[in-house]
Order: sequence, then C-alpha cells, then structure tokens
Amino acid sequence: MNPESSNVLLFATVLGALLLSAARLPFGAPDWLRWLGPDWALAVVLYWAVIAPRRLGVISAWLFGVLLDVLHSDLLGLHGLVFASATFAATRLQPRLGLFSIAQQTGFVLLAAAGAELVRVALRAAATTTDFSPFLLVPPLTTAAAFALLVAAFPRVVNRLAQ
Amino acid sequence: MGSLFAREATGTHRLLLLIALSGTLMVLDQNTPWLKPLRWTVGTALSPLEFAGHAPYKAAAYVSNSFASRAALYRQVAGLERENRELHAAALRYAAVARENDRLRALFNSQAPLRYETLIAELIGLSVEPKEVILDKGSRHGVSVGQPVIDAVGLFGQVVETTAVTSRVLLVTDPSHAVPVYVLRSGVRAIAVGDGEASLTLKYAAPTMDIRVGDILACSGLGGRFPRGYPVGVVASATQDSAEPFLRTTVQPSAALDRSRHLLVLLANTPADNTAAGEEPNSATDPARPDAGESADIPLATAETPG
Repeated sequence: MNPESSNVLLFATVLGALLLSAARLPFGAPDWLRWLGPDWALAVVLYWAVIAPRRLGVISAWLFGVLLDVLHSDLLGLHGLVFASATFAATRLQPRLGLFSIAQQTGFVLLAAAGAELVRVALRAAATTTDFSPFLLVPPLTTAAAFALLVAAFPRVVNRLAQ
Repeated sequence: MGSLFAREATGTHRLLLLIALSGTLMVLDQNTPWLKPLRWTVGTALSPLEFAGHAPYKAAAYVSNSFASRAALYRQVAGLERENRELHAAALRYAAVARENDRLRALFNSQAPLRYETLIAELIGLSVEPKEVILDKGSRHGVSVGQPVIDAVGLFGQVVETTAVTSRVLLVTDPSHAVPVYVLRSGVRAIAVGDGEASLTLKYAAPTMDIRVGDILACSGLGGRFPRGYPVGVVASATQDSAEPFLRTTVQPSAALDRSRHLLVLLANTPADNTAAGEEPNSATDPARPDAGESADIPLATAETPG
C-alpha cells in the first residue's frame, strides 16, 4: 500500500473511532449496555501500533488521547497518557507481535486494554469520585474483539487501496 | 547497533516526557482554570462529532414522524390540545397567585423575586461517568457555567462546561453534585447530594429532623445558584440506623433524568418589577437570540404532599 492511501486509511479509522466514541446509546436503553461498548479509540491506536508501527507514533497517539479527553470531558491528559503508554508497549513488542497469529495478538490487546482500563480508573479515582465496578473487566474484552474485527476487516481494504 | 539503542532511548525519553506532560495537564486541569480556553477551543472544533453522534436518532425520529399514521397524529394533537388547556388553566391560577405575592412583597418592602430568562435546548449526548448530558446550545446562545437546567417537572442539574455550540450538564444524581433544599411540608433545610445511581440522598440529616416518606423537596435558593422553590425530588425512604449518626435517606429526583429530551436552561436572573398595582411582569426577550424564551418566575413547587 502506498503511503498516501495508508494515511487516508489512518485518518479514516481515527475519525471513525472519534465518531463511535461520541455516539450514544438510544434513550431508555438499559444502563448495563454501556459496558458492552468497546473502546474504539484504543482499539484503533493498538491496531496501527501492531500492524504498522511507523504510521502512528507515541506523540500522535498522545494527541489523539487529548482529543478524546476533550470529547469525553475527562481529565486533560488522561487518555493521552494511556494511549501513549499502550502505543509505546505495542511498538516495542511489535517485531514479535508481527509473527504472532491474530488470536495471540488479540490476547496482547486484551492485556493492554485491561491495563489501560485500570490506569484510567486509578487516575479518575485519584482526581474525582468514582466507584469501582466489576463490569470494568468487560470493556477490555469488547475492545480486544474490536481489534480482531479491525485486523480481520482491513487487510482487504488495504489490498484494494494498494491496487 | 549503536543507533538502534539510541533510537530506543529516544523513544523511552519521549514517552517519559509525554507522561510528565500528561501529569502536568491533569494537575492543572483539576486545580486551575488555565486550560479552560484550550478545552473550549478544541471542544468547539470537535462539536460536529457530538452532533454526528446524535444524527442517527434525529433521522430515526424524523422518519418515524414522517410515516406516522393520520389517526396517530390526530390522537397526538388532541392530547396536546387537552394538555395545553389544562396547563393554561393552571398558569392563570399561578399568575394570580404570583401577582398577589408581588403585592404582598411590595407591602413588606421586601426584595422582588428573581425572574429567569429561559432557553430551550435539546439533549444530544449522554455520559454515565460522570453523570452528564450534552445539550445542543453553547456559549454562543448565552449558556455559561453554573446555570441551572430544568425539565418540565423538576431540577435536572447545572451547566459545568461549554463550547461555542454545545454544553455539558452535570445531573443532580452525580455524587459531585449538591443542591441546597428544604422540605415543603416542614420547611427544614438540608443538602441533597447525588448518590451516583438514579437518586439523591440528604447529607448530614439529623435523626431528629422532621422528614417523612413522601415529603417534597424543593430548592431553598441558598447559595444563589438554584432558584428557590423549584422541585428537586420526593423522599422515598428515611431510616435510622443505630450504628450511624445521621438519617439514611433516599430521594427520587422529580426530573425525568432518563427520559427528558428537551430541557430549559435558566439564563440570566433579573429582579422582577415590584408591581404592587398588579402590572404585567416584564417579559422582554432578546431579539438577537431567537431561541430565548420569555422571562418567567421559576418557583413552581406547591406545598402539597402526595397522598
């Protein structure tokens, strides 16, 4: 795939992740449904870090996180810290991760998403009043599933763009 | 080999720098207002995403309305007309009481009640942690931080953040939200704090406090942020635990927090004319702001308890 097509895809996935992050559940939807929503932004960041580590560096991931902080009205810098750390870890392990199967890569993303969730909860708890919920373990599962979906879906798009 | 290690070291340094920058931003954001302009600017730039997130529901509502049957629309219009007549009758009674109240206040030379200019806003987004909703009106429409937000039946929350075209409202049920209230039946004052779920609780309510299940709580107006008399909730339970020094209370919010889609932001508050002669209250609207509604007296709660 040529770099321009790759940049278009990168921009599209980042924009798509921001849109999905801004989307909300319909009125009257049960409260527990929100826990099933994957962290699309983290899935996209890890997708690019694992598949093409040169495309999205730690600084870009940090800036993406700051945008998400504003969008969610979260503490400014919280998602930046989480995304930059996750990207750094994924980029460091990328030479080995690239040899892994999709299932193994998804396992890594599950661990990274769980770690990211714990850091987020700890930082929010330190700054504001937030309660620990056992449902916190659900979003990493759905985020890993979203990553697997991205990995499964985009090679075809990438090949098509390369033609 | 040397350059590889140098690159890794640079990457680590870059990450450490970003972590330090994040920490600084978080501390500044939590403790100072310095980052508010940055948040406002970036938030305004990202607001199209908020509207885009709401677009599917708006489109679905439009399609649903377009295909609604004639009979269903007739039923809806008939229902709205009936409701309008009932509300009109209630408003007449209320206007008479308000005028009488103004005259009595004038007799006692006391301060005139505040009248609030209102702005209708539509809900376009939700956040559960913290408990917030996003409205489609921002600082360009006159919304600013601290303004109270109500729905048709009770206090909804207060504005905590604005961009040019959107604003965030912290719900009364958020644990970081507190509102001074009084019991309509007994006049006892308390502080109602969100419990983080779907209700509120009274902070530091003494066991001797005159409060019963079914009591209506209204804004006391103390602190000056919320208008006095507006309904906040109904006491659902009040129990005394011998192990605790205070009453354990649960208050069901009056506002339909999970259903209301159109809300009223109470904008500037101006003292009403002390019209002892029963003149009509000044209800001038800002022509530059077409969404702004008429100024209105806010106290709506009546001293009636259910049952």
